[in-house]
Formats: sequence, C-alpha cells, structure tokens
Amino acid sequence: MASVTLLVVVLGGIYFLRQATMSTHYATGADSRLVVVVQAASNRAEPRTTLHELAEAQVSTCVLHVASERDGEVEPVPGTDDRFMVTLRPSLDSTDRKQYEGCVEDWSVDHLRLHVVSMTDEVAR
Amino acid sequence: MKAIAWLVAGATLVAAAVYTVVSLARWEWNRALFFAIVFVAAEMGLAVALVLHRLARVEAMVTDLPPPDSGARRALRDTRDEQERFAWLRVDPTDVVGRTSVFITLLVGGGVLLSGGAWLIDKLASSTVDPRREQRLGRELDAIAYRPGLLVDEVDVLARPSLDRDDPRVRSFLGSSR
Repeated sequence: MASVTLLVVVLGGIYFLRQATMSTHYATGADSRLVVVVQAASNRAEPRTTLHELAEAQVSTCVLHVASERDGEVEPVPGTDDRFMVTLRPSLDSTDRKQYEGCVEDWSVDHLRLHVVSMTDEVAR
Repeated sequence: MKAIAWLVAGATLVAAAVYTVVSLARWEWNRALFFAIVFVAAEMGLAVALVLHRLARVEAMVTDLPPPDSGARRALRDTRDEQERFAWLRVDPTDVVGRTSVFITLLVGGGVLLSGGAWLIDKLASSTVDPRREQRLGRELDAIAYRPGLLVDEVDVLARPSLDRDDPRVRSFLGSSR
C-alpha cells in the first residue's frame, strides 16, 4: 500500500513539474491584443527619473522576451499615479504570459518593483 | 546563542532554496540568481561551521587524552640500556696505567691528520707539473741549448792528445775562440 502511494506521489509530482515547467506555444491570432496593467513602486530612485520612465523601461524590455510587440505607448492608467498599461500585439499564449509576467515582476531595473495587476485579452476592433 | 545561529543559518538555507525554485518557476531569473547566491552562501557558512564544530570536538578529545607517559613507554624507559658514552675520555686519577687512552687516541688521530696533510701536499705538488708547464720548460731549455754542429767544447779540445786541425769543426772553434 505504501509503495503504491509513493508511486502515485512520484508520478503526480512529475506530472506537476511537467505542467509547471514545460513551454507550450500556440498561435494567438495576428490581430489579437493583450492589455497588461502593472502597479509600480520605486524606492530611492534617481531624482530626475520618474516612475513612468522606470516602468516603461522594464515593460518594454520584457516584450523582447516574448513573441509579441508593443502596440502603442506605455500609458498611465487614468485616475492612478502608480499604475500603467501597455498593449501587446499579438496576444500571448499561456507560456509567454508566464514568462512576461515573470520578467515584469523580476528585479531587473534598480529601485523599481512592478506587479502585474491584470492581463486582459482585448477584442479586435 | 549557538543554537539560534544554527537555526537562522538552516532557515536561510531552506528559504533560499525554496525561493530559488519558486523564482525559476515564475521565470524570474534575477530573483532566482539572487536567492541562489544566498543559498550557496548559507550552505558554505553551514559547512564551514560544521567543520569547525567537528574540529573543536576533536581538539577537545585530544586535550582530554591522558598524558603520553603510558605504561609501555615507562617500561621501555625503565629497561633501556644505560650506555656510558665517551667513557674513554673519563680519566681516573688513581689509574695510572689507563691514562694513556687519551694520548693514544690523540696520537692515532694526529697520525691520520698528518697523513691527510701529506697526501694533500703531494697532490698539490703533482698538480704543478703538467704537460703545458713541461712544454714551456722545454722551450726555455731549447733556447739555451748548443747550436747544431757544435759538439765539442774548449775543455774537450785541449784534453785531446793531439789536435786534429783538419777537422773543420775544430778549426772553426779555435778560430772563433781567438
């Protein structure tokens, strides 16, 4: 009984690791778009550097890691001081979403921390 | 205090390992690198602390060992043959016959030293005569040797019972000596 349980746990662990780590890419449509909203916070940044510039730098750099491009500028979310949004075209598959989110929330730019608030598929106009 | 240090180090190691794996799963490479460095640092610290702890234990064990004067060493020391070294140097003032021991030794030693010195001098002297020196000496002797053809001297000529004046060498010698 114990050996069966151990076997199930091992196989389940392997399956979980496979699902969590294996990259699976698929087409999302050339006209599809993804709106990413991030929340930014900075600590002891350079006086002339704005939070908007820091967020734009990291968000734009991370686009280079996925199969998409920035559609438009990185803009502040209306009514907020620390949230910014960027539109990616085409949209990202599930693996690219994980990768983009990880890149955006990584410690890449000094004095900046970003948190992905939402990633919303936008219906093509 | 030591327990707290061990606990903190162990917790740091585990937390760093967990965060490294989580960061890798989230595609956060810089975070993963940072936590991996923390993990390695904690691991090294723990390893060094463990080695030092073991060394301290060994040191304490060595310190607690009994002194090295064990029974075996004591038995060896007690049964050791007490040799009297340089006994021949010791002079008994009452022993008149045995007093020559040092003298004989010095005599023999002096003989050896003298023989060695003579051998050295002989070697040095023989080294002063070499083929080059002989060649130079031969050249110097050649310079003062009689010229070829001049085989008689004045003493030989006068010692002869009758002079053979027909001998051109005699005529030449007598002519040159006049």
